[in-house]
Amino acid sequence: MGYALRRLGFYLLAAFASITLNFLVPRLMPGDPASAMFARFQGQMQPEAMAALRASFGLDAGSTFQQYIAYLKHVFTGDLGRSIAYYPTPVTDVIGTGLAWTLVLTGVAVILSFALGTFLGTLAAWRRGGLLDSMFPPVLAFIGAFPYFWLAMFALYLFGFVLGWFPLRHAYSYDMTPGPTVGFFLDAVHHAVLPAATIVVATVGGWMLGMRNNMIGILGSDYITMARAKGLSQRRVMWRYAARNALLPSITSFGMALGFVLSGSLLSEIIFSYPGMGYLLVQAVRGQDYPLMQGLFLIITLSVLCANWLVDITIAWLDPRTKTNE
Amino acid sequence: MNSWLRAFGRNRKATFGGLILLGFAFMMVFGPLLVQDPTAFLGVPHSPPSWQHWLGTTGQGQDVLAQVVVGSRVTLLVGFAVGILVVLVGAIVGVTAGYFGGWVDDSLSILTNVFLVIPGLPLAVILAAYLPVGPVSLTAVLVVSGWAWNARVFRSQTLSLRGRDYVAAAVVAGEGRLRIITREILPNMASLLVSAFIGTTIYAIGAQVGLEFLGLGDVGKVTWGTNLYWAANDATLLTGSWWILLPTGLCIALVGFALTMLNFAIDEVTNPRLRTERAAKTKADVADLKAADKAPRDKAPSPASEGGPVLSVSHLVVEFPADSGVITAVDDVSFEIRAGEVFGLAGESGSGKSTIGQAILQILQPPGRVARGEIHFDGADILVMSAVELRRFRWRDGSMVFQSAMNALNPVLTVGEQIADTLEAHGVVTSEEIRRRTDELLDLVDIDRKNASAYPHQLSGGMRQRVVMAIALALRPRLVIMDEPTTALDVVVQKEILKRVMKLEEELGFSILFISHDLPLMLAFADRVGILYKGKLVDVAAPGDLGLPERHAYTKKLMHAFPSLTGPRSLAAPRREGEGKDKEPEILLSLRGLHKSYKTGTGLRKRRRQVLRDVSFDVHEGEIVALVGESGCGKSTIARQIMRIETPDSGRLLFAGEDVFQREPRRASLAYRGKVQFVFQDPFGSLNPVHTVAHHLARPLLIHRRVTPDRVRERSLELLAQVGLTPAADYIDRFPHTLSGGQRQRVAIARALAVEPRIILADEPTSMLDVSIRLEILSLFRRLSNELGIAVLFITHDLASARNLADRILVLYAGTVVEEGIAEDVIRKPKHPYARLLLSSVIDSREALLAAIEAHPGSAHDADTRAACPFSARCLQKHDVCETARPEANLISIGHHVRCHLYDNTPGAHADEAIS
Repeated sequence: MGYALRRLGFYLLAAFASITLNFLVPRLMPGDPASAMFARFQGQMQPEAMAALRASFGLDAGSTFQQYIAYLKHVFTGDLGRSIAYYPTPVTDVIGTGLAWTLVLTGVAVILSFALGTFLGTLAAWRRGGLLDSMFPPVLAFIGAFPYFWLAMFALYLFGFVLGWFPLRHAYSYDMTPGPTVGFFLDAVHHAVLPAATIVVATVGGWMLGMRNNMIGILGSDYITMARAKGLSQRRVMWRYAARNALLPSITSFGMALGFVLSGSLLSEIIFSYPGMGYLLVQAVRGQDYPLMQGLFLIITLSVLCANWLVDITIAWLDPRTKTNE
Repeated sequence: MNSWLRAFGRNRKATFGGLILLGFAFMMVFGPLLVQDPTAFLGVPHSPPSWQHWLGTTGQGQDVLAQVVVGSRVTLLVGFAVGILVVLVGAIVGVTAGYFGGWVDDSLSILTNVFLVIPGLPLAVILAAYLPVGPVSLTAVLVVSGWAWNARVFRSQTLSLRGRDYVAAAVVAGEGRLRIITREILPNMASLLVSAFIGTTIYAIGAQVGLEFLGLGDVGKVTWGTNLYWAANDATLLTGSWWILLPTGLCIALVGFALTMLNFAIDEVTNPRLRTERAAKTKADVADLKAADKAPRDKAPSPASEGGPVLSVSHLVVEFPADSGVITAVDDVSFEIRAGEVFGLAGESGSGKSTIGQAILQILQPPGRVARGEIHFDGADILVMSAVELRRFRWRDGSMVFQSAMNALNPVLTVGEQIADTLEAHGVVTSEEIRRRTDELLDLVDIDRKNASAYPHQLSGGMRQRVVMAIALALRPRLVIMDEPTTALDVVVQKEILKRVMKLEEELGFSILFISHDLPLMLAFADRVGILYKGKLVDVAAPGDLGLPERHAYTKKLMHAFPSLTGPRSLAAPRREGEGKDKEPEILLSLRGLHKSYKTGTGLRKRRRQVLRDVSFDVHEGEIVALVGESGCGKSTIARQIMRIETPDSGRLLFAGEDVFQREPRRASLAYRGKVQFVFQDPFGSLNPVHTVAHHLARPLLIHRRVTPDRVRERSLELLAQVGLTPAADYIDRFPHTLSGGQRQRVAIARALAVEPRIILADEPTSMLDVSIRLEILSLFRRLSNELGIAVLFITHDLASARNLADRILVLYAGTVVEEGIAEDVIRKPKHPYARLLLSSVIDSREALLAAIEAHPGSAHDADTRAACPFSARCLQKHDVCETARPEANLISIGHHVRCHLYDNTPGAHADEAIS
């Protein structure tokens, strides 16, 4: 319990740092943040309207420190400003549904990929020199070397355009209304297969190799030798003795890689016009919609921090050495 | 290092990756000169590959090949630039945090962890959005979002290297901090630095491409990322123009793949186990194993055959194929073990004794295999058993007790679960039966039943070893193989365990194959002993006959390698002619009232553990003093305070009369370091693997200006000769890994001698060496002390060595010196109850093994150091005063002090119970 709270403390600190970073970045960069933000409006608005816009974005409220306090107040009340591209919709509304779609898609894909990779890695380590061990890692490493979004484009082209097995874009068909029906669910899954498969294929190689290496390290241990000497079945030794111990460092690296995987999947979403945060991100960049960009940074970061905290708790729960040393 | 480079060159993955990268280097440098202008609108948009445009044209009519080739320049350059910068920043932050520790480490770590946990792409997006476009800003953005990973990796590696003995040795030699970081630590991180650079470059290329794809790069420039950006914008997929996408993507993947291959190669070279080997098992073996898994479990114990030996090994040969040829670990070994007999197998490391034990249970680590010979158990040949039969044989008929119980138990399963799965694997299915048998087993080894739900790390070392024994006896096997079962344990616990084993053997009647290097122990414990030397069994005899003159030469050598507690002291100081007993040598080093505690626990649960309590003693010029105690008693801690690697909480340290802590409170002066030197326990860790012997000797000579630079080599050769490494010229330019343990320890001693110290502290200098050379190293200390007048503070747990070598002995328990005196007095007539316990636990005869243990169970490690008398919890002669008042150092005879209330000179003291 104490461990969970301590990790929470750390993540709160990191969250606070991200919020502060979010505030500082536009102000540290060369040039006037306001001009950057409103570059596209130059020459199109009255100066008074510009002044009003600046006020609404908190860019005039006195010293930097006062702006910071005001900014913190806004963040803690859930006010991330208004999007420029979707003016006057608040940023939080714009991000709202996008967040849900991204979390579901990436969450499911990442867990699937980790489970599959870990399973394959265990088998590969057990049958050293077998087909799985010698062929899969290099092949998967090669596939994983392609940028995620390139694989997405390739998959879209092959399975969408050429073969027509999967829909080409979006999370669900036009004529479906979102709702808790079986039909909608199946349609959503059908749309999610390609994006999810891209993420899985791109990342599974890494998990597999990591687990394989952990297993190999562990298979030399005395307790594995003793387990075999005890007359335990191969399967039992592999899963209950080797894999269970090898899993711990794998989950640790899972936590550390979450942010990275999320970044890649955001870019893939763009290819599939999947209405997640990736799509919003590209819109924000193209439209120079700084409030939206910064809102996205904050929400994405906070999600990753939260996920990391859950992973830390899971590790502590799985490892009796941390569980009982409280 | 050089061998690594060669191995790397031969590695297939490295060559493959290297060639691909070479190709791209060529493309980067010369390519743009050979192709058309990538920005010119030369052809028809969206036209497929043709003779004019080998890879077709883009949506704007530009040449795809040109774009790919020209794009490689910026992309790869930015990638490598980011790689170098990130490694630089990461190394500076990580190494600083790891080396300096304290608040520096805390603050840098928080910074690193925060950046680590913030996802890279979103951060890069908002940074890039505000910066002017171009490769420079892109580089900066990627460095800021990517440095944290490397910093963390470098920090953990630095932390682990900083704990190595050769770093401490450099500190003790007087090296400055910067030199230690750059010359001692960083060279050992070379492969990590390279690997980190490669990994970062992979990341940088990918992230760069991603950002440019989003439109954050300079879309007017030609890079691989912007190629893909335009491809996505120009409806490439709709028009089916796959040729625009494919080449760029392929190039990115190839570069990433090649770099990954290089990283794999580095991993494999530094950790050879990771190499993908040819299949070790044939199809038949795999099918066999599957059948074994499915076979019905057999509950019945094996039938004992009448008469005949339980185990019969004939002409066993075990080989280990290696890169350099075949190593024969066991060479034509034959012996028998009868029912109920204890057979000892004695030998040093590398003799093959553990291999024999593993071969019997068929658990040899690949690539080891039995080449020839037979092993019969009750008449059945184990080596030809099918997998089904083997599974039945294992544990039911023959089981094993491993050396390190901590490593032999699965850390994520409870003790009960590990006993249970043994029972299940052999046919015990009902949970009541399992529980009953588990309780029975725990009772057998005197472990409380509720410990069945404990995890291994929660039990003490002795308890864990008993658990392992209980598991070994779970199925009442006829043969139990014990592989160095007590080597890792303290002497008192060792005796407890062995007495227990003897009792169990009487009760259950199993045979024991006892494998150990401790010959005196085996002489007391075994019925017959076999001596192994380099894989050959050179002698087999009953303990009483092993000392006879007709034995093998090696047997005799081994028998004489163990110093004894009785008999003549082989390494005693020579009697000095013409000096009366009244001329006592000067006091060189003096400790008064040393206290030291450590903070333990993490986060909010910090406790203080008092490790040293009021330690005071003297070391005279030229004398050898032994500091004796079990693990956890604080002897190494005392050494660290004297070496000034740590600072005590309170107390005084006087050197040649001067108060050292007053003169130089913060750090030890070079002068001090030149007078007080240290020899570490682990000869394999105290020499830096990347430096030659010459370097190890030259540094202290130069730092302390003992000779002029031109005479360094000459002096180094002299030093090597002095420690017995002759001809010195053969050794001086060698690397540590080419030397044996004993040779390395001699180099370490030479290094300590180089500064011409007045005193050398030696922390267990022989415990990690082979038995047959221990006496040589100890006699080296005696010779150096005699010839050069150097005092030696010799820290050990081995009473026999202490008695032989030292002039005086100090016995340490839980941070207190409980008894001190002339060596022979302390050994012959120990007064303190703990000293008596320690001496009675040294097993050098059957009587010693059978004698009662003179204390309640416990260990020096867990003793309450804050209690008035730390031994009171275990003392059989405890009185009430022992819990309230701390005993003073009572004088028994000249130079002989005991801290025990039994010897108080006050009226009412229990002098009648004192031992005379």
